[in-house]
Amino acid sequence: MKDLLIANRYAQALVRTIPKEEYDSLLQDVKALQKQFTDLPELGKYLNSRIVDREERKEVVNMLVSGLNHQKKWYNLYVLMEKKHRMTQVEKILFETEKIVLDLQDKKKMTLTLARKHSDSVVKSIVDYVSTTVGKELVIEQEIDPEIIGGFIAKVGSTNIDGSIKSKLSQLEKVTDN
Amino acid sequence: MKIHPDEISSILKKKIDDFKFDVSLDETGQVIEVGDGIALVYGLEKVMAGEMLLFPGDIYGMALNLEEEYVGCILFDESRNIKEGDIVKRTGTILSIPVGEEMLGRIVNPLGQAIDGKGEINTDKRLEIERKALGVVHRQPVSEPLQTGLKAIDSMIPIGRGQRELIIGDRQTGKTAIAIDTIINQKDSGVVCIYVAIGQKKSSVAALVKTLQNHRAMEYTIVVSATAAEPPALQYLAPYAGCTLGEYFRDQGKHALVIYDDLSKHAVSYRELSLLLRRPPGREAYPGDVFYIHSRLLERASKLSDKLGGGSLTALPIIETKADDISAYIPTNVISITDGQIYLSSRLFYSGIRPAINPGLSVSRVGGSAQIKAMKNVVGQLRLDLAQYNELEAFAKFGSDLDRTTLAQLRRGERLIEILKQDQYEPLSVAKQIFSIFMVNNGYLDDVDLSKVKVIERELFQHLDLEHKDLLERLTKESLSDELKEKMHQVCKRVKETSI
Repeated sequence: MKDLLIANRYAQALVRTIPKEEYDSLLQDVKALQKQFTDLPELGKYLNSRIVDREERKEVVNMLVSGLNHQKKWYNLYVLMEKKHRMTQVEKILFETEKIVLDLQDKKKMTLTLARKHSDSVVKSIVDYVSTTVGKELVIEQEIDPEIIGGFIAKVGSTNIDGSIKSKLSQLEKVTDN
Repeated sequence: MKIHPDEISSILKKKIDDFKFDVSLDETGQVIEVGDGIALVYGLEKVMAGEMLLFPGDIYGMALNLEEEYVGCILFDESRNIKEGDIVKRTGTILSIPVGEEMLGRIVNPLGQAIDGKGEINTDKRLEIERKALGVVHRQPVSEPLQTGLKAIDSMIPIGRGQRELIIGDRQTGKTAIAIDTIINQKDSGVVCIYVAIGQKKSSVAALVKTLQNHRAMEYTIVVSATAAEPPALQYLAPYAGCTLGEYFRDQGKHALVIYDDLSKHAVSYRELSLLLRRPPGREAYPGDVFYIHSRLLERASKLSDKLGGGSLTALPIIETKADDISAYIPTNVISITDGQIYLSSRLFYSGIRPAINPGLSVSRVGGSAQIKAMKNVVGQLRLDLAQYNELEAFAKFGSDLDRTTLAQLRRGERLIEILKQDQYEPLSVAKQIFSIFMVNNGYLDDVDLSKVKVIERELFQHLDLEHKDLLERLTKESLSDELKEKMHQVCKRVKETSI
């Protein structure tokens, strides 16, 4: 967890090098890079591996960042991380970068967890409710987790809005236990 | 006991009916490091300093360090059950404890939870643990005495209600004994006592509670216990919790006495927390604000103005010194904060003078104005006489021939010291103290053998209890008039005649 603090420092340094008007393009890059980590779960391990030749890894990095809006900066970041043996933290740096940029744009990222897929109108009503509660414009990321049984869990920054059946049942359990 | 299924099901049904399915909104953070009674938490952006935090497993903590990247918290329970990545919730409330009359006679931890096995404390009143000390306009000078029942203190180092008087000395010199005697002496005086045990052995606390119970002193006493086995966070909080309990009674217009036993251990626990929270160490590795933690605690002792009810909170902090060194960091700090100190000397203790109070180094800066008139009249130059005796005693050890006046001074001094000796758990009423000192000051004991001084004193008390209750009563209220003095002389003469 301490990695988050270090990742935050790298992310702040990265964001400082980007002009305000290019924040949207930076966010697009972050999304694309995050997708690579989701699609290839072993990517972090591979890039941090000492068995694989350094030059070979650099070539892979080149491929990964090619076509991005801030290709050179991302390449340099990857190389720096490789040099500092902190390749495993790249994912966290991406997460922190997104958070910092959204903060600067006065927006918040909302991770909305639902038990199953719902219609757009239902999602919109939840987003509207959360947006009014936290008082910020929201960028939504949806997750499906049947374990919450029903309702929703919205996580916006350090605020957690829990309207799930699972947590209500555990609360009820506590009440009846007492 | 018969169990009725209908009753149980109806209770359950009611609970389920009353349960509301609301959306809960929590501000959360994640544990990034945990151990040794502290946790570092990432997130919790809007957390307040001193806010209570809820960790998994219903473990509470308190935010102490608000850093740019993380929040440093102290934990009030074992940190073993908390792990990295655990979610921490804000509670939005500053740490508070239950207060009220219901707390009397109970032993509680610094969170106000009963630990005496007598069940939950049913009170709905709560007060914040960290409260700001009252301002100048809400106070008035100390004017009423707080009798400890100890001759040496009530005569030479009087304590007033609302005063802060430090009890300082090496280990095993009778610091706690003075505190216990003071509590015992508050019986029927209307003073509520709060004893705060910080970093002590559980066996010591148990023994203390037993003593208080034996003297029926627990009826008006609350014991706040944070023993050596508790996390340092609880030891750090204990004196503030005790002070809050005292403030409740003070604000009700009553008088309260709080004893912090001891603040040296409190400083040590705070040093431990501060170093773990990575605060920069200063002198003796204590953090920079170690003075402030004690000054803000002791500043809360006060005598309220009549407009606010005239209640008072007297504080008796205890400090343990090492090798009689009162110039160490924490002792000098607390000496400078308090309104005087009672200095206990191990040399005196082991030479049989108990309470081992060193009158030369002990002082009460404000208590004099709270001393009752008769005591003031009778004490006169007691401190000076003792100081002269101590000087002469050292001189007399050379064995040189001494003149009659010096010998008389030495004889008087020896008897004075003998009279000021007092057994533990035997506090005396102020009137009896006045009589004792009057007797020795007026030379009634000068020709009495040293071993018989205590016998005569006992005779005097018996005589007073049996025949002069009215005189005792008058002494507590009036100043020493010639008529009163004459009566006292008569009593002293009679007691001396009958006992020799």
